Amino acid sequence: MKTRRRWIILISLVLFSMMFYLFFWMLTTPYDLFPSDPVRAEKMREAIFNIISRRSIQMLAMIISAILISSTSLVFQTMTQNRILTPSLIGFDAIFISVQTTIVFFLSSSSIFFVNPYLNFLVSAGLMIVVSLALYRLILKKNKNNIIFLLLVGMVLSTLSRSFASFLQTVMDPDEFQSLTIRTEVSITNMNLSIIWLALPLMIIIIYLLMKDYREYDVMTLGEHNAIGLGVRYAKKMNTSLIYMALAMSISTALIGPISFLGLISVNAAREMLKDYKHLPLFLASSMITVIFLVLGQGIIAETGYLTTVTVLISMVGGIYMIYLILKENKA
Amino acid sequence: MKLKKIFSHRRFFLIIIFLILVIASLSVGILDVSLSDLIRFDQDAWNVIWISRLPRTIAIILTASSLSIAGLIMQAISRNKFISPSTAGTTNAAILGVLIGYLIMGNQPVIIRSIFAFVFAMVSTLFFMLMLKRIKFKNVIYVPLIGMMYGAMISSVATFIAHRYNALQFLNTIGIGGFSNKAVGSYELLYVVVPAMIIALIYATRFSIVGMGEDFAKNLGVSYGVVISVGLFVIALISSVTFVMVGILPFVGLIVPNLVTHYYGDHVKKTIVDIALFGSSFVLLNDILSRLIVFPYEISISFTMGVTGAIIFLILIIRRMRYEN
Repeated sequence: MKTRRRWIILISLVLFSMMFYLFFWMLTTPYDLFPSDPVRAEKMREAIFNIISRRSIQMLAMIISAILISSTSLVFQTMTQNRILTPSLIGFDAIFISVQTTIVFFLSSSSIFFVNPYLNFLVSAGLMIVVSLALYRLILKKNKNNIIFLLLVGMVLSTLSRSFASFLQTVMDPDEFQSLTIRTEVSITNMNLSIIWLALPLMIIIIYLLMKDYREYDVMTLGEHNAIGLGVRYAKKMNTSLIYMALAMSISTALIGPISFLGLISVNAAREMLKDYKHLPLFLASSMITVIFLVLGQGIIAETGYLTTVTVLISMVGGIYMIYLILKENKA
Repeated sequence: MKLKKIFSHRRFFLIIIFLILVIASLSVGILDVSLSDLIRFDQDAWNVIWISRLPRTIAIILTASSLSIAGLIMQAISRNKFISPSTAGTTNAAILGVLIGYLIMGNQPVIIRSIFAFVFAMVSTLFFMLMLKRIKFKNVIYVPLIGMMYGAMISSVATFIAHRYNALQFLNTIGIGGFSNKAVGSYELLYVVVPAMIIALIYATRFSIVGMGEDFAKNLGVSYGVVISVGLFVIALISSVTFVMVGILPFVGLIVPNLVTHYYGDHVKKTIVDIALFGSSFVLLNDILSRLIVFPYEISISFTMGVTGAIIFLILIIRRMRYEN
C-alpha cells in the first residue's frame, strides 16, 4: 500500500514537471497571450505553438537521456557491486570531444562526417563502442571481471584524449575551431536536437536489450560466485551490458552533454524510496526521478533567468549526496 | 654489497640524464645562443641565459621535484598508490580558493592568490583525509575515484559561484600557465617550495612509519597526528604554490612516485632524492618536447604531459594487472 502511494507520487511529479516545463512560462510572460486584435491573436497563437513544440522536443531529448542515464547507472552499480560509481567516470565525454576534434582536424569542418548529424553521430558512437570493446578485451578478458581496473584505465584514457583534443584544437585553424565548438559544447541549455529522431528508436532498442533479462541482474546482485552458481553467464552478460552502456552513453552525451552525478543520485534515491533490490521497479523509479530532476530543474532554471545551469546544480547536490552516502554506509 | 652498487649506479645514471636535460633545456629557444658566444663572454648571449633560460629551467626543476615529492608523501600517508593532489580534490580546492580571493579582493598579486589557494587546499585535503579515515572498505582504486568525484563537486561549486558573480571567464584562466612566461621577476615565488621540500626530507622516515598505520606509528613513538598535519601542510603548500605559478601539470604527482618506488621500494627517505631527480627529468623532457613540436611556437606543457603521462600510466596499470593475475 505504501509503495503504491509512492508510485502515484512519482508519476504525478513526472507529469507535473512536464506540464511545468511546457506551460508555466505562459503565466509569467510579460506579453499578452490572448490579444483582442484578430491579426495579432493569430500571430500569438503561432508563437505559442512554436514555443510549445520546441519545448516538447527538448523535453523528449531530456526524457531519452534520462532513461538512458538511469538504466546504465543502475546496471553499472550492479556490475561493480558498488552504489557510489557511475559509468560517466569512464569519461565518454572526453572521447566524444576528441572524436569530433579529430574529424574536423583531419577531414575539415566541411566534411560529410561532420556536417551530416546522423553520419557524425554514427561515426562517434561507433568509435566509442570500438574503444570500449578494446578496453574490455584488454582488461576484462585477461583480468576476470575486474571492472574497477576498467574504470581506472578509462579515467586515464579520458585525460589522454582530452589532452590530445586540446592539442589539436590549439593548432587548428580558428575558423575550423569555431565550427567545432557547435558539437563539443553541447549541454542541457544547448542541446543537439538534430539527432533526436535517430536517438529515440535507438534508445528503445537499447533499453529493450538491457532490460529484457532484468531478472539476471537481480541474481547478479548476490555476487559473482552465487550468480554463476545459479546459472547466470556472468562474463558474457557483463560484456554485452558494457557494449549497450557505451552506446547509451554516447547517445546521451551527444544529445545533452555530460552530466556527471545524475545517475548516482537518481538510482540511489530510487533505492531509498522503494527499499527494493529488483531491477525492474528500480529502473522505472530511477528513470522517473531523473526525468523530474532534468525537466523540472531545467524548467525552474529557465524561469529564474538562467541563474545557473542544471549540470552545475546536479554536480553540487550529487557531490554532497555522495559524501553523505559514504559516511552513512560506513557508520552501519 | 652488490645491491648497493646497482643502487648508486642507477642514481649516477639518473644524475647524468638530468644534467643532459638541463643543458638541453638551456639551449632550446628562439634566440640563437651558441657555446662559442658563451665562452667569449658575449654579453647578449649571457643575458638570454640569465634572464630567460635559467629561470625557466629552475622553475621546471622546482615545480617538478616538489610536486613529485608531494605525491610521494600523499601516497605514503594514505597507503594508496593511486592518490595524488590531482586525484584528491586538492587542485580543485586551490582553484576555488583563487576564485574566492578574486571575488573578495579583485585582482591581486600572486602571493595573495597563493595564500588563498593554500588555505583552501589545506582545508579540503584535511577533509578528504578525514573522510578516508571513516571508509572501512579501502579498495586501492575505489579511494581515488571518490577523490575525483569529490574534486568534481568542488569544481561545480566554483562554477556555480563564478556563474553567479560573472567570473566564468576568470575561472577559465585559472590554472592555465606553463613555463613559457617564466623569466627573472616572474618565477621567484616558486622558491617557497624549497623549505617545504626540506621539511619533507626531515620528516621522510616518519611519513613511511605513519603509512604503516596509526597503532604501529604510536608503538614506534611517532606522533601520528603531528606527522599527518605536517604532511598535509607540505602537500597543500607545494600544490597551491605550483598551481598558482605554473598551472596544472597532470600526472606528475601520480606517475613519478609510482615509477620510482617501483624500482627503489617504499622507503620515503631512500627514494626522495631520486624522485626529485626523476620528476625534474621527466618534466624537463616534456617541456623541451612542447617547445620543439611546433617550433618556433610552443604548445602548453599540460597537453604534452597529459599525453605522455597517460601513456606511461596505462603501461603501469596494465603491468600491475598482469602481475595480479
